[in-house]
Amino acid sequence: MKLEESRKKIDAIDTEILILLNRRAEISREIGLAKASAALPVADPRREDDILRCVVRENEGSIGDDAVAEIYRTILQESRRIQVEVQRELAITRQDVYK
Amino acid sequence: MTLTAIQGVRGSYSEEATIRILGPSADILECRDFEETFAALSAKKADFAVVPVRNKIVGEIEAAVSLLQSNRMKVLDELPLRVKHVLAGCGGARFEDLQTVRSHVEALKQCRRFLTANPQLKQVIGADTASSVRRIVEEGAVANAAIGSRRAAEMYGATIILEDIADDLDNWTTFYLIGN
Repeated sequence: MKLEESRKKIDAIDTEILILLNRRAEISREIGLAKASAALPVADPRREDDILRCVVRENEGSIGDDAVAEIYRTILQESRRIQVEVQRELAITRQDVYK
Repeated sequence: MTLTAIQGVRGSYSEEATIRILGPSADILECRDFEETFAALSAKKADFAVVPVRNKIVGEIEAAVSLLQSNRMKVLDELPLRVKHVLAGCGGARFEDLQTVRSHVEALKQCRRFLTANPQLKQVIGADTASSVRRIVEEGAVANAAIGSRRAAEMYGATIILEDIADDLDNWTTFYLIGN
């Protein structure tokens, strides 16, 4: 019984994590649009280093720092992919590129 | 709707050649390599293909020319395209940070002098110039750069670290528009 209850809690948390990850991805898309209109590069490794340092510093739970960093590296990689796709879509719709 | 197969992805020189020949509304089918490009045309998945056949610095693009000869396809148009290679990297990347440079094998050959003068840059062969730029941006490491067009750098959100790095600044590639 206890196991089942705990699993239900885990399922609920996973749903929350997924909602938050997708919310983060949407904001990342908005940042991609802002970068595209300001002609700023997608990948910003120094900003990413700051994020990684920050999340590891704030980690006080059971998850190891290496695991936190690895999870965030994957999140950041997906953000770059989303922003590259935003830039690509905008570039394709521009008709005057080779005039 | 007519579809044109190119080797590589949007932002490649083949895409630029296609747009210059067929106009900006040309629909593009991105193919992984020359074999897939010709196969798409043979199988009528695409109506046309645009492929590079000669470059001023390296001469004949053998992989494309041999497929063109063996497939006996019609050359419908020819376009000499000015090719200006840039060295693209991630945001904030400095030249001294770089350790690898990725690009299509022909583009690497066209930048031989630059690469010989910078032996610290390990050459990595990518499928095409534009996907090489895309890949280094998605990897997001300051140590990685790619050689491609300005259009590719802009399309995939890369920073231009150096411009005009080909051996000959007056660099041209001839493209063929081909059909069945």
